[in-house]
Formats: sequence, C-alpha cells, structure tokens
Amino acid sequence: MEALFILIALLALLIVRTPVAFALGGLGVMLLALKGLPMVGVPQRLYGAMDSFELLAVPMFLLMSNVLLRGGVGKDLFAGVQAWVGHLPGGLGVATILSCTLFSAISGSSVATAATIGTIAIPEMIKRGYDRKFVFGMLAAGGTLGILIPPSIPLIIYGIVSESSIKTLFLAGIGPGLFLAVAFIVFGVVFARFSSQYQPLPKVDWSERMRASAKALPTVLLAACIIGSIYAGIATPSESAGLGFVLALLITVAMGRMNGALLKQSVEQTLKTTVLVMLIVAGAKVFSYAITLYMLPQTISMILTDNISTPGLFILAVGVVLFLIGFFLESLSMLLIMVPVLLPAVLNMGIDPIWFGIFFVVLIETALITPPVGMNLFIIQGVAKASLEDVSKGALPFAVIMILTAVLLWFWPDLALYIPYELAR
Amino acid sequence: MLLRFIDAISEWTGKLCAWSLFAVGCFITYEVVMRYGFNAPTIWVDEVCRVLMVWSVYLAAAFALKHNEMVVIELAFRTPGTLGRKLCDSIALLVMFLFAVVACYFGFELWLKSMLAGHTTDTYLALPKWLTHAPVWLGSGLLVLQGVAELIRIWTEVPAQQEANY
Repeated sequence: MEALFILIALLALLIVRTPVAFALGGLGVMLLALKGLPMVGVPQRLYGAMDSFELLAVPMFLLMSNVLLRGGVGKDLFAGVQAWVGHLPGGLGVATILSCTLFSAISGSSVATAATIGTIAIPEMIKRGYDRKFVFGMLAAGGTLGILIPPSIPLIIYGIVSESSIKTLFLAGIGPGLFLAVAFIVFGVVFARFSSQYQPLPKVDWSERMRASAKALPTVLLAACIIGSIYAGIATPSESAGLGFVLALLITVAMGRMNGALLKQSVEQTLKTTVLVMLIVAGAKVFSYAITLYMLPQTISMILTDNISTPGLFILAVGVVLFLIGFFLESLSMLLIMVPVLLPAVLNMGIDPIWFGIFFVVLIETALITPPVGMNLFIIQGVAKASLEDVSKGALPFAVIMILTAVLLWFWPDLALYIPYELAR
Repeated sequence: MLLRFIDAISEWTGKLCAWSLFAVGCFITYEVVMRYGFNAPTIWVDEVCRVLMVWSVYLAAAFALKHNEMVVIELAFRTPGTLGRKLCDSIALLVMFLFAVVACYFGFELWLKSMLAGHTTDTYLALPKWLTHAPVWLGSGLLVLQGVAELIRIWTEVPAQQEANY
C-alpha cells in the first residue's frame, strides 16, 4: 500500500511539471521526514552520487560529441554515407539510418542523435518525395540507436546503479544496436519499394564518393578508436571518453572548423546537459535511499518472486510494465526509478544483469518514440515543425520493430551477450 | 537589481564549472598518455577529476535552473503564462526548495563538523574534506537563491515561449 502512495505522489509531482530531479529528491526528503529518519543521509548521498570516476564518462562523452557536432561532423557523416548508398532504392532512408548508427558511436544520447541527423536528413528526404510521417518516424527511431550503440549515457548510469561493468554493457549493446539498425533499413527499403512518390538520387561518381568519405573518415576512425580501446581493455570508458574529447578537438581544429566561440558553446552545452543528467542521478539517489529504508525494493521483489514462478513470466510482466510506464516517463527517470526497485528480483530470478540492462534500454528506446511523452518525438516535432500526431504515427512501425527486438532478445540472448562473453573473452 | 545579481552569480559559477569539465578531459588524457607513453601513471588525476566533477555538478545546478535545463514531463499545463502553469511552476520550485534547503542545511552541518575535526579523504592525496564536501551545501544554497529569483519571475514577468530541453 505504501508503494502505491509513493508512486501516486511521484506521478502527481511529475504531472504538475516538477523537474524530475527535484521530484525524486523532494519526495525522498519528504519520505525520510515522515518516518523521522536522519536527514544527514541526504548530503552524504548527494556527495556519494557524484564521487565516481565511472560517472565521469557522461560529461566526457558529451564534451566529445558537442565538439564534433559544432565542428559540423553530422553533415559530413550524412554526405559521406549518402554518396555510397543514396542512389539505391530507399537510399536516403538507408543513408539516414547509417548516419544515425555512425553518430551513435560518438554520441551517448538519443536526443542528440535525432536532433543532429534530423536537422540534415529531414529536409533532404522530404524534398525527394518521401512520405512525411515515414521520415519523421525514421528519424525519431534512428535517433534512439544513440543509447544502445556505445557510448551510451543510460548504459553508464545503469552500470553504476546495478554495479555492473560498463565495458561489458557497452559491448553487449553493439549486437542489438546493429540488429535494430539493419531492421530499420530493411523496413525503410521495403517501404520505399511500395511507395511511388519518392525520387531516387542520381548515382555519385567515384571521385565525389572519395571526397565525401575522406571528410567523414576522421569521425569514423575516432568512433572505432573509442570502441576499440574499450573493447581491448586499453582504457576504461571514462578514459577513452576523455581521450576521445581531446582527439575530437584536435580533429576539428585541424579541419579548421573549431574556434574559441564554438569551443565555448560546446563546453557550456556539455555542462548544461551534464547537470541535467546528474541532478536526476543525485535526486534518484536520495529517492532510492528513502525507499530502501521503507523496504520497498525488497517488498516488491518478494511479491514478484512469490507470485511469478519463472524468469520468462517475470520478464514478460516487467516488459509490459516498462512499456506502459514508457508512455509517461522519460528515459533516465524510468531507469533510475525502476532499476533499484526491480534489480533485487532480477538477481533472485537468476537473470543476467547485463542482459537485463540491454533489454531495459531497448524498452527505453521504445519509450522515447511513444506518445504522449517521448523525447525523440518532441525533438523531431521541433526540428521538422510537424505535429506530434504525425511524428507519433510515423514512429509506430518502428516502435513495433523495437518491441519485437525486445522479444527476440529473450529468445536469443546471444544477440546481446555473444560479443562481451564469447568474442571479447 | 537583486534578480540580476543572483543571475550573475549563477552565470559565472556555471562558466567556471563548464571549463572545469574541459580541464577534466585534459587531465584524463594526460593520465592515459603518461601511462602508455611514459610508463608513469599519475597519482592525482583520478581523485582531482572526481572532486572537480562534484564541484561542477552541484555548483552549476543554479546555472542549469536559470537556463531552464531541467527534464520536465510535458504532460499537462503546457501553455506558459496561464494561472495553472504559474501555480505548477511555483509548486515545483517549492518542492525544489524542500530538497535544496535540506541538502544545504545538513550538508553545511556535516561540512562544519568535518572541517573542525580536520577530516581528510581516505585516499593517497588525503584532501581536506572541507574542500571536497563544500559543493553540496554551497551548490544547494545557490540553487535556493536562483529558485527565489525564478519564483519572483514567474509572478512578475511575461514568459517567453520555451521549448523542451534535453
């Protein structure tokens, strides 16, 4: 019963537009006060929440992608990929998803991916006669690859909350991320085949291809270096992120695309997003401290394990709940509220926490493109000046593909676990 | 006048914090280069970077509030300027005050105790805790100040159309 009241209070605060970080932190403080528990735990938790070298990966990856973004890398990537696949049936769609995939490998945020590639790809695709709703849906969905293909901010946070290896999580995200990208491309090509309106691009000659590829190459190499260094165990995710930032800076300076003003913008935007993410992490830390003292995760875990006998049924139930919650909550809040509550039950059921992290992130991706609250829908709505309804309708088939991928992950866990457990052993 | 003063504090601390993150990036790269290039790993990078992270996040909380860089669930009361929206925004700030005042008051108490007792971190650098633990109460205090400024603004200024940030 207590759990229900806490949930209602949290939802009420969120509905009246309390920022997620303060809703979690404020409610945590209220819960502690109600039971007369010592408040000194609050600043201790706040300090402990940020005192983590692993967490530094978040601002470092943000710095790197902000520098690259302001160095005009999004445009280069799209042009480079387009030169190779633009003339194929549905080629611009293929180029869009490939650009999203490549951008995902230098950015840990789905919103940044959707906004960057969306700004470039949406006008191009619409100009070439692609169905507007389809274009919006494709960009909203393509953007979500940003949080599955490493680096990924949600995976870093999940790793810290669940005390799992961020490196293993990153490697586990590669398989499902690429699978989803291929699934989106196949859907895009099939859709274009049956659509008579779009006009394919003319084939680009080899010299133009080489020119476009050369511009995109440094970014692709940088992405490969980052994933490679984590994969080979040369550097921790935070270290490779810091290194990636300095390399990104050197690349953009060498290309003559970085100056003091752009660097200042990059650094300030990084701080804004970092604080936005970290305050939610800090608020959630206080909230989870309070609900742990209320014995909530243990109680919920007991109820779940007593009533659900098999891991399959448990995952089905969790999947449905997360899918429903995803309509209303944004990604980080979903992660930070639900993981501490569900994790004891996940471990009790003998489910691999790495697998669960990937499953969770695939469902977060779905949440990002399902209305009424879907961050990527809002971003595409803003970028394309379209209605939320159109973007949501376009995103629907992609959401279905994501759900099917989540189901597939259950039946074929190696899709996620093969790379970290077999290949990288 | 008061509002401008508060804004200026948040703005300047924000800029300072932003460049601290830039420094963290350089320190981490320095560490990796020293480790692999010169076989001479540092003893200070890990801890200094963590301390800078705590300082940056909490000290810049007011900066983020000023720039409206907070994740809000856009479900209801979406039109700025309506009475409902103003009430909602005020409630949100009151909840924020509750959180920040507790963090500031008890954080300060904890900090004062650590300082008087001369506590240090249990690491190789043994940094004094008055330095490492100060941002929690200092940042929360600035957040309360900026919150007051925002509360005054809600009821006195005509809002500009704002888009969802993330």
